[in-house]
Amino acid sequence: MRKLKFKHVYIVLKKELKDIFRDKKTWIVTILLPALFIPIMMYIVIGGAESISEQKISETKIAIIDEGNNAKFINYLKSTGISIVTGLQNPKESLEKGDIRAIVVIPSDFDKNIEEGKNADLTIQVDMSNMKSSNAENMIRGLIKEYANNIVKERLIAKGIDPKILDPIEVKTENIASQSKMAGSFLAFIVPMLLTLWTATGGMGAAVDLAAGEKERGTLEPLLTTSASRLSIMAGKYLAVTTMALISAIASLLGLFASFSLNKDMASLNADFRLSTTAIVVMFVAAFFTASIFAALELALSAYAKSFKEGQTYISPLMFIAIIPAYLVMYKMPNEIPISYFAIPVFGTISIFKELLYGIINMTHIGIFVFSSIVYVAISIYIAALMFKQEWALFRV
Amino acid sequence: MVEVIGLTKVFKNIKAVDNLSFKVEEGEIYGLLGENGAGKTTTLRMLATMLKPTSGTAIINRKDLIKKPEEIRKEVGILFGGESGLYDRLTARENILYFAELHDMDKEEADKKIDILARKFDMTEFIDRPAGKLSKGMKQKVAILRSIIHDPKVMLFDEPTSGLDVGSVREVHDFIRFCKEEGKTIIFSSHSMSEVEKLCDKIGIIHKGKLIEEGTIKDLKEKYKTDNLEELFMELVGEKIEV
Ligand SMILES: Nc1ncnc2c1ncn2[C@@H]1O[C@H](COP(=O)(O)OP(=O)(O)OP(=O)(O)O)[C@@H](O)[C@H]1O
Ligand SMILES: [Mg+2]
Repeated sequence: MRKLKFKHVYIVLKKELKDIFRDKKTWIVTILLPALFIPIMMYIVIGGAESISEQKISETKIAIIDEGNNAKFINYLKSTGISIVTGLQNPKESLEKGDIRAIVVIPSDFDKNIEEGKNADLTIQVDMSNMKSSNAENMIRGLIKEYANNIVKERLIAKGIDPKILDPIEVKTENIASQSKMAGSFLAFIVPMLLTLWTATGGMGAAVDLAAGEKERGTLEPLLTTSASRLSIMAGKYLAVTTMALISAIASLLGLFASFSLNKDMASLNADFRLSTTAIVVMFVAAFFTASIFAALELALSAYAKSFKEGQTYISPLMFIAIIPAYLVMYKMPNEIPISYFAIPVFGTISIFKELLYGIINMTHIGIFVFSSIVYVAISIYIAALMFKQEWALFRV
Repeated sequence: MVEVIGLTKVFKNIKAVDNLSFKVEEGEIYGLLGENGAGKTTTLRMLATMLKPTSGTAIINRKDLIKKPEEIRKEVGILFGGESGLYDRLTARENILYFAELHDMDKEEADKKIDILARKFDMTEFIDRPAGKLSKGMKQKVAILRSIIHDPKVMLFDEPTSGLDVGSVREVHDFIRFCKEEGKTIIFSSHSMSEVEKLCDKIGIIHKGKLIEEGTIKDLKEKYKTDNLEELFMELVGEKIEV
């Protein structure tokens, strides 16, 4: 009765996977959703940011209303590469329609005033209700500022003063990170969290169905009277849940890599970013351990639950166990992660993912993580097995 | 043959089954009659090795329930509840095959057996359809087939007709009689005397986990000098409630 028989484990596993995959919901929740989650998020975040900063200077259309003959300033504007639209009947209407982003109105004596060392003024007409138009305003202000700076410099030089006097402190920022390191840091920020989340949630549906659902359907009783021991049944179900969790995690990883190769801005990062084979293997092992721990705990809770609904209620809080550590580790740099984290469930997983994505392969950390994980996996499987033997849990009234 | 010896089950503070003893011979149908909460399901669950008895045991085909639970499982088939559960996304055949395989049957052999039994029980038309798409009556037939696929010598039925329509009830009754003809030892629980009277060779009335009366239908009628066993049952159980 207590014996583990691999043949039975295999029969249960095979049946459960067949059963699970015949459910369309499974495909959506465990594969499609994790796979599409990152690409969609990236599309929204990057795509959104892009459509605003997309305003390359050459693509920003403006009109100029010259009230005099200010060829010098207009030539400067032309030299910046900004797209100047000419021959508009009604520039204001074009601005309202969004055909152009801004109108620069130059008073008749603009060039003259500057030449004479006087102050000059200028009007920029924009449509502030339009993001792109208000961005164009910033862009034009920048251009004018540059023009003004040059004028100041010229005037100072004319008076025999070194223009450097204007910038007593010069700040230079040098980015020493390579492209791949930057890509890594972005990945290291988001991937551990998502991976852990999907390994935790990927098996939930299956876990609820495979124990609590079995009770609700009334299939548990005949199942328990077959020759298969409870341990074998539990083991088969546990492997099925782990498989689903891993499939989710892998789907989310594939989604991530797909979005990297599809997005043109991301592709340049991707080209520089390479995970070593060792890192990939360790990542897979780490995902497997984490999926195992969650699968066993989810199954234990599900075995306790009386119904499908009760099972969901017990299991969903496990998600926070994944999210909170992920959040706590998310903002830490690899060198800030305390060594003890590698020995704590979930914290360890996220920390390992983070290091690997930064290209760090620290055998001590991996050792601590693997060893402690084996202990946790053993404990969680023990709990699940215990639950499957408890008649007060399986036959609750 | 099943011999129940002093079987007792205590949940936290309830004695669900209290020192129950009875004997059922091969080819005999034993009716376990009792009201809600009398301890019928608990008794049958213990005999099917799902629950461990607090004390007492049973000898099933010369094997001890406590000492050899694994062997007992090969001897026992169960049909619990009127709406026996199936895996909706598996076909009827796959449902049955799953249990057959877990009973250590050879898959091909089990498959052949399913074909034979499906013909016998008039199920060929839907045996390869997903269980979720079957009618209640069809599902019940699948559950029945599943319960005998490993050819158990002892059949345990726990209120197998509850919630079924008249036609399905008759099919279940026919199936129980079929099991009797096959020489199986049958224990059948119900809270309806009329159902038990129709089917059973011997009746045991349990109340609050205790066996309060036992005998063949003829014995009971003679002992209490009445033809109305339904009334007798109410009387026996009612009496005990007042105590
Ligand atoms: N797992 C359990 N834990 C605690 N008490 C239980 C458990 N199973 C049954 N009981 C209690 O044991 C008693 C007998 O229950 P049982 O289900 O065996 O009765 P029954 O005769 O099958 O009743 P019914 O006709 O309602 O099915 C009841 O009081 C019930 O509440
Ligand atoms: Mg009952």
